[in-house]
Amino acid sequence: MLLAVFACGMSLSAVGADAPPADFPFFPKSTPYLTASPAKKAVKVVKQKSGAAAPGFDYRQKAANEDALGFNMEAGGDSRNLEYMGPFGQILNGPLPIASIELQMDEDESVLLFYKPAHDNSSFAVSVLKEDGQQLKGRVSVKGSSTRGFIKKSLLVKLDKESKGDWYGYRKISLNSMASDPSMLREWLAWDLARAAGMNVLNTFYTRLYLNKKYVGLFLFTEWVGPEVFDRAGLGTDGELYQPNDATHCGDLSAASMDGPTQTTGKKLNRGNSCYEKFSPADGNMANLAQLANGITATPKDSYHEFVDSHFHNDSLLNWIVVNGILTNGDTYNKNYFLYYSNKVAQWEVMPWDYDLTMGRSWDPYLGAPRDVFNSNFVYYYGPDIGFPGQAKTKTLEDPVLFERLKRRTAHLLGIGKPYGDERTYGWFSPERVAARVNVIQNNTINDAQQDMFSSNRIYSYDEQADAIKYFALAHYAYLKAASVGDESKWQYVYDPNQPMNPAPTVASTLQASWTVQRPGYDRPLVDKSGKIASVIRVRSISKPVTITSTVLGFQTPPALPPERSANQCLKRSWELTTKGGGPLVADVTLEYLQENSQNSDARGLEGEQKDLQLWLLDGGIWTPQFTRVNVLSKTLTVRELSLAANRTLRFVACVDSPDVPSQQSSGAVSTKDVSVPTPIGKAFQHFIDNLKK
Amino acid sequence: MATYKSGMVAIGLLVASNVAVAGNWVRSEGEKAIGANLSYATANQFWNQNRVLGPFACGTHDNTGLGLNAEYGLSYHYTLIAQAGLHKIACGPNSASGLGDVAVGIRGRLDALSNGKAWELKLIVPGGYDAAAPVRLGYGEVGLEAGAYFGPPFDAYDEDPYKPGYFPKLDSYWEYGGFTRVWNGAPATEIAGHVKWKHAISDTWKIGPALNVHWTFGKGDRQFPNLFGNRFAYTRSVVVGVELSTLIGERTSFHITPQATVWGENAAKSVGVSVGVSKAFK
Repeated sequence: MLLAVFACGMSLSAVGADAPPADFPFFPKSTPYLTASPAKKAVKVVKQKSGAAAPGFDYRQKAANEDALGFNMEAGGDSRNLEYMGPFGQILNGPLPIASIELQMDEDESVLLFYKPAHDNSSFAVSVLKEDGQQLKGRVSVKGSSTRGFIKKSLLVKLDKESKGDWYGYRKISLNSMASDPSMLREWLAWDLARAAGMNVLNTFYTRLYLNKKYVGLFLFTEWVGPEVFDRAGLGTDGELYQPNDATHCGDLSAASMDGPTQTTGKKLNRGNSCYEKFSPADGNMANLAQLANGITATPKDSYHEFVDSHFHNDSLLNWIVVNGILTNGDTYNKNYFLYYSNKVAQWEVMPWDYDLTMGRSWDPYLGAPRDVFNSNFVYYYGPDIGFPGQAKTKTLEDPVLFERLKRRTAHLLGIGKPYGDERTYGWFSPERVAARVNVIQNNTINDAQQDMFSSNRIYSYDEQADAIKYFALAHYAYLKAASVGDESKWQYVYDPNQPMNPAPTVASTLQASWTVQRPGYDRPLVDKSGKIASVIRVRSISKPVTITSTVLGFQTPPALPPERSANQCLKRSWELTTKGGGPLVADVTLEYLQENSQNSDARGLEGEQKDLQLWLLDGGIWTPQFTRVNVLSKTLTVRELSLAANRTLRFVACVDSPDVPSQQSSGAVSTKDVSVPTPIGKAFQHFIDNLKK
Repeated sequence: MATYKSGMVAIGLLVASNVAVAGNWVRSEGEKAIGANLSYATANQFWNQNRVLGPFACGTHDNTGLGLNAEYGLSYHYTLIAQAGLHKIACGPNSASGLGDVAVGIRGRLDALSNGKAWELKLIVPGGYDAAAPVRLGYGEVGLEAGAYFGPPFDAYDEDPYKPGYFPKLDSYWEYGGFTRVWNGAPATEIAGHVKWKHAISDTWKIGPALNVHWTFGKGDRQFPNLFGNRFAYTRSVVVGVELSTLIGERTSFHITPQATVWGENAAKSVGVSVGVSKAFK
């Protein structure tokens, strides 16, 4: 009866269930040699430890262009062709790889799968329908931990032993809902970056899920991590596979972590007995892991790089920290990774896990669950040392050899300074190339996103989500270049165990940056010496060169307010743009405000919703409201085609009209209260009554 | 949250049937749970079939019991349950000990989308005791029990109820339910209901009163002579108690419940206490 609510939601879709192409790169049987056209010809990534760029590549010219023109964040906007990394380190070009999977199960149980109590681990009978009509029987269950609270659940289909065959080579089909990341971009981009960094990681690709012939939504297929994933890198299948225990979150690879969950908390917590789980072989023998952890703790700082080079395969420990730093992944080093010991090469390989809370997402120590994890904060200004100060990480950063290698590899992937590896991965995560990837993925998945009945992007549009990711790429790049890995940065890592994990409340601050603009270009960040962005300016027209100075007064009530606006109706941040010399220019101006957590926020105490913010411009003593494009996710305010006269100072504040009631946070899905499923007994009783009526 | 322990019924009944462990919680598929409930009750007096209070001819009646239960999540919809009681009952020169009634059955959801509301169907079989003895561990007959049990609702938006220290985030809530039990042979058809109110006194501790009412349709047929001076296989009682409960570890709950029978017919006027521990395994 009320099942119709669910069915109607799903029947909105008109997305086709296309079979993936024959040269789909992410199936187990795929190899670089299966790629069809010369354009897709596989190219092995050169090992990046000591590589140099090919002759003729001028990184200085690239930097000069970025300085003069900024970054084209609309690159690839009209294309469906994507540049991405294949599973064997090959660089591929072509349409976004998307697969489809069709499942069939009892209608009522298809509702229960998504709407039953979140932490029930029950499975239901399911069949995977293949293109040739074959039905593979199995069980489907909900997977994940905190993400179970979302209505759009991540799913795991396990095929029965009796069921012969597989789904494109997979018998365990793990589908991440991406519900915790409504942009549906973070994990895809993260795994792609990890591959570009030279890491051997699990196969991932977008997958459209159809359930009982109805489109449900876009998921990310996430290969089930087993020894065979590591065997792809020549590590054999007879090794040992570990993962830190997600519940105890104390697996930081220190010697103390082998003693259970006491070491990271200072007191015994009732979180179970172990910091690690051993999956394969499941014999509980942790001797090898203990030897590694003891070695990490015992090795002196000055020879730590030798220990790392001899114990970790493919530089995977360092690459993991590089990738986490670029992505601002703070949710790891004590959990969220796999560790494989290869008997074949007698080395360990680290494999990252769980990248949904990255690229600006941040844990809020001042909010209770689940808003501490799932919130609308956004962070840009954290260095490569972000994340739990586990011993494997801190000692890597304290070792001068590894520290230099980490900085150079990070800079290489961002496209900062001299290349440090394969030219083709130089600048893989530069703002422009990230933006191009985001734009192309959007072009390929916009229909999926709009028709995904569960997606919470009904609150914030898919465009807004994607724009926030692109702005993250721009701002974090600018910060890392200025503060951490650029030639002029002065970053020194010092581990202070007494430093609190949570940043202290931010105090009033001033940012300032200048830029002499010569000609129209793209998005050019004006970056303060601290690495923080004062403004992003896109010059559309200009007659003569002009020097623009951008000043920000943060975490303080603006010195002047628009008429009939109180301090609580305005952000505690104001901006100034001063032009000097030349003639007038027309530009798009983007100004950001900060909300790193609920306390460190320019919007703290705002009597209204951030989406209703409007920029006011003070020019010549007159306030005028500006048509403002607000991105609540990236915390940016944009005014398009603003005329800036020569030798003037323009002041901006951002205010809301009037106090407003905050809207209810919604998952965008049908509420449990509106869904009903009869129990089997209830259904039988109903049939009985119906038969009586007949 | 998980299992409603009703040791009180046995205390009121004397004739044990200490298999009265009922639950409103349907387990996840593959989830296992075990529980043990140690109870002691003593009585010098009883209410006869005219509800007149009088002393036991045999002296003091003592009932020490160990109720055991196991549950297994068969599927999302159904949980298998098995319960048994070991007892030592003595009154003066008369005593009996050993396995009482054993129950096996199934529990299912009353609301397919939620948990905390369940029905149960159980088959009760005597555990091999001497049903003709003056002090006995049960009626010695096969019975069938059907019940429904209700607690605070859990839905998709709730936090993980398996988290250590988890309790429903309510200052107070009700748990209630009831069952009917039909027997082969002499025992009267029973109907029983219970209601509890639980109030949070800290993040992890709850306390609240409990009321248990046991009634029968008629007085059944004559059976063997019992300690109440007749042959009728029935008992009626009202038991009150105060339950103090908490979680003592990961998915491990504990309760202690002092209780007393305050009204009865063909029932002992007993006071006692029950202490229980239950643990679930994912």
